Amino acid sequence: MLNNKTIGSLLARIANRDKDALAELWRGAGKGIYSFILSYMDDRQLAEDVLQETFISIYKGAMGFRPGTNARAWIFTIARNNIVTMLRKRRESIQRNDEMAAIADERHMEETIGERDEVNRLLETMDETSKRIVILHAVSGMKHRETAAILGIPVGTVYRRYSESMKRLKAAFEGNNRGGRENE
Amino acid sequence: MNNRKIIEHIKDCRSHVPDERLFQGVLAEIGRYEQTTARKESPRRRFILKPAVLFMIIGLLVFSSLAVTAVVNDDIREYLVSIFGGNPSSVTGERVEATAESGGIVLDMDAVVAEGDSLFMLYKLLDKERNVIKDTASIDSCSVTVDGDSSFSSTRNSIIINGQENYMALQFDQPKKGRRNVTFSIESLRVPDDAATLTVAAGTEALVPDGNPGIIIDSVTLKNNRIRAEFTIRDESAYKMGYDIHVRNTLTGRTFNQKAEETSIDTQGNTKKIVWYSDELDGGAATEYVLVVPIDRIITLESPLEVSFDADFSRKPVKVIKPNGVHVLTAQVDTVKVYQLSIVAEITDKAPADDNKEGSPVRVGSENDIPFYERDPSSEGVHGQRMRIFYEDGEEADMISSSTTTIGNNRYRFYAILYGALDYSRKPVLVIGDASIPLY
Repeated sequence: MLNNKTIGSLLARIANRDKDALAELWRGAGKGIYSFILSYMDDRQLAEDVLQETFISIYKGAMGFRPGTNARAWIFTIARNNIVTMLRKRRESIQRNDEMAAIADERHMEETIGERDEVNRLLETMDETSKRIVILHAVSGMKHRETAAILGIPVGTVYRRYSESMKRLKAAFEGNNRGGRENE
Repeated sequence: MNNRKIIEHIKDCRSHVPDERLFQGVLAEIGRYEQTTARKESPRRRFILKPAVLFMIIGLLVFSSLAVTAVVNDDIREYLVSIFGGNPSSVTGERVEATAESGGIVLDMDAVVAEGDSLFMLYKLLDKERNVIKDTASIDSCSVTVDGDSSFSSTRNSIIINGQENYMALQFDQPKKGRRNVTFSIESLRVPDDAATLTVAAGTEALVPDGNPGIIIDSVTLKNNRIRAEFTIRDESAYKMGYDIHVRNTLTGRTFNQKAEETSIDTQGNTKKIVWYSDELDGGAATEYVLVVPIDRIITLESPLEVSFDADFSRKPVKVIKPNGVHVLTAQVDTVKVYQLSIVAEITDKAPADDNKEGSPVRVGSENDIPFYERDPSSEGVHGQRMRIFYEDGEEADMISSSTTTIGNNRYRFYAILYGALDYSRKPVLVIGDASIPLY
């Protein structure tokens, strides 16, 4: 994931209609943004639409970016706004608890193979906000302050939820592998 | 599995590379946009990157941080390592060589760290013949005076392992200054009495254990997938409940530790009421569960074990931070003082005080109340907010204890004792409620 300074420089060039800069941003930040979008929706076609809308919005709005401010948070906030717009259009709740629970149930029935799949399965048991906090840090390398800005929640909450989520993941993973505590 | 490994797995399974053809679609749409949008020719804007100061989108937070040099004495981290393990940063304190003996038990005071209003003592207790301390014990009654003053607001100490290093941490009501004489005196110890351990079935009511009428088990109930136990303590001169009260599932053997405990004392100070909650259980019927209550026997020493030594209380904080515009609910954080082994935050609430809890004991909840640990923290007011320290990598800095004291009208002190010096390279952040204050 590109750092703030690099993204800021690219946005300055994009503001001058530099499409090569937009391509650089796609290559350097596209994966992180796409992964973030997918943390809100399982429909890949929908997620691809949002991803494209996000980069179009970045191109159109780059002139509005204030140099020296947090460029990474700026582009992810655009992504989040587009997610909200898309989901509202489709009359779906952002939380989608019932649907996510149903999807999670299906996943629980699949065989998990290896640690990676186990971590993935455990991630799905977390609440949506905590899951996004963890994904933004792990996949996009977001600092907690940036995550707070993107998700619109207090920084202290991000620190707490991240720490507790990692503890839960660790404990759940170790608990599943040990098969429960020993008898007295 | 450590955090780094978990992060790697999350990256693997949650990183999705978008199809390159999608970007071609973006370019096509931009092309249409540029063709159909009438654009006025305008001079190109020049963007000047502002150096030095970084502004956050969520608000303007400016911290002034003053690093203060601590007084250097000696590095005493070896004692902390022998208790807590790990690889902590250096901790400067004073080596003490003070010894006392009573009834075959030897007290060695090894080192102290005096900073702000805290005193951290590192000592050993050795029962050579193991007549009293077979393996472990804990202090039942002791006193600590600083130039004759014994008013301190909190203490924390470790379980004593015979012959090994232990700690006791105290916070005094008022900060002390300069070189002071400290006297530490142990009058009685408590040792585990395995034969007296109580195993009580869920559903029990009004149980008075044989030979131990000082402790009454009022009830042990299964509620909301937790065990809730109520105790009445009338007399603790001979026996006390041990620290490791837990629940055991008799079918699976799994054990469940304490989630929370509330204590209150009647107005005469004679009777103590304790309400104890377990962690969440595995479901199932109450008949599957038993409450296990270890019992400690009280041993009064032949004569008090007493040592006296000097300690320098002039140690300055490692950092003094005066945050600007940081609030815990409605209260502004005035100052954060970071010492080696403790941290103090002082907070002023500008809102009318409707939750001034100075001196009020924790009330015992009834079965119909929401257990206090499940209440929304914001409903507890500023006083009820919790103080924690997180590193950027998500690890939480362990605290021996943390407490909140009302120090004046709408003024609060949040205080925490740490297991060791903070690792500033990992960018620790102090979090109180939803407020966060970088400590690096």
